[in-house]
Amino acid sequence: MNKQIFMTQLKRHLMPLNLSTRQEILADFEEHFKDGESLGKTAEQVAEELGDPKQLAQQYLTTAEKGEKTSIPENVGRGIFVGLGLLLLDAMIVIPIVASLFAVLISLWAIPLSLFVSALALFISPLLAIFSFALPYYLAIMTAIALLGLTVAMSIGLAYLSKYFIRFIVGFAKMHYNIIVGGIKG
Amino acid sequence: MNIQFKKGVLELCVLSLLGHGDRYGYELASSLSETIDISDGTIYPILRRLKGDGFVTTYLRESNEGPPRKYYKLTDNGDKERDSLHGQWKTFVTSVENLVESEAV
Repeated sequence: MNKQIFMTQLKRHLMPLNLSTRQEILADFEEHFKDGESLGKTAEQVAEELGDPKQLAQQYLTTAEKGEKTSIPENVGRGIFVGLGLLLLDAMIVIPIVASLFAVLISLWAIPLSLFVSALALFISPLLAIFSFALPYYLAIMTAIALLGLTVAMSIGLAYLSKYFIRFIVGFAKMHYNIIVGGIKG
Repeated sequence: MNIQFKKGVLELCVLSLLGHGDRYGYELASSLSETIDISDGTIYPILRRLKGDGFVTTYLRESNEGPPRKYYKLTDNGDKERDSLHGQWKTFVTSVENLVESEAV
């Protein structure tokens, strides 16, 4: 492991601590690297001897005092700020796009639905006495079957499309959550 | 080894080393890891806690090569803590010895 990776990992795992505590800890390790290197060791060697940065960070976290932890109010403030920014972005760009995509999806679903209704109507056409004049019943049945086939094919395609759409929405919601919570924790 | 136990022992070691005079982090880390099988980094969380508990203080001293180093110094409380830990350690070792010996008989 090189120094850069060591320090970055240490820093990341120390995130629950407040900025000044983190800086003090990181400074200690910077100094350690310098001392090791001035003795002729490579930074990789020093990092190796220091051990696992994640475990080290955990030792700090378990013994940290309350004053060293990230203060929640300041971060909740930041979370709210980030949240408001996202809201603005969503209102202007994302929501219109998502809403129109949703409308398109719904109208696409209307096609197999109407095909299905037509097929149904053809099946029971003798009862309805609508098409029976124009169309012999066997032809009506064949048409109905063809329409049913189309309905199934389109439904499968649309099911996939809807799945991706929902996945996109869920992913988008998760991203929002992460950004806001990340803002609070960071 | 039990982590809590190890921590206590390491605290005793650090306080004892500082009893011989002020040291900086790298010195402490290398003298400790020479004798005991621990990674160098382990010492820094311990030093920070000792400082938080008021057993050591730190100050900066110029070094020949590069920027000033952070030195650790034992406080009066730290001195007492070392004696107390040392006492506990001796009692512990004696108890273990007694137990081992008595089983051998």
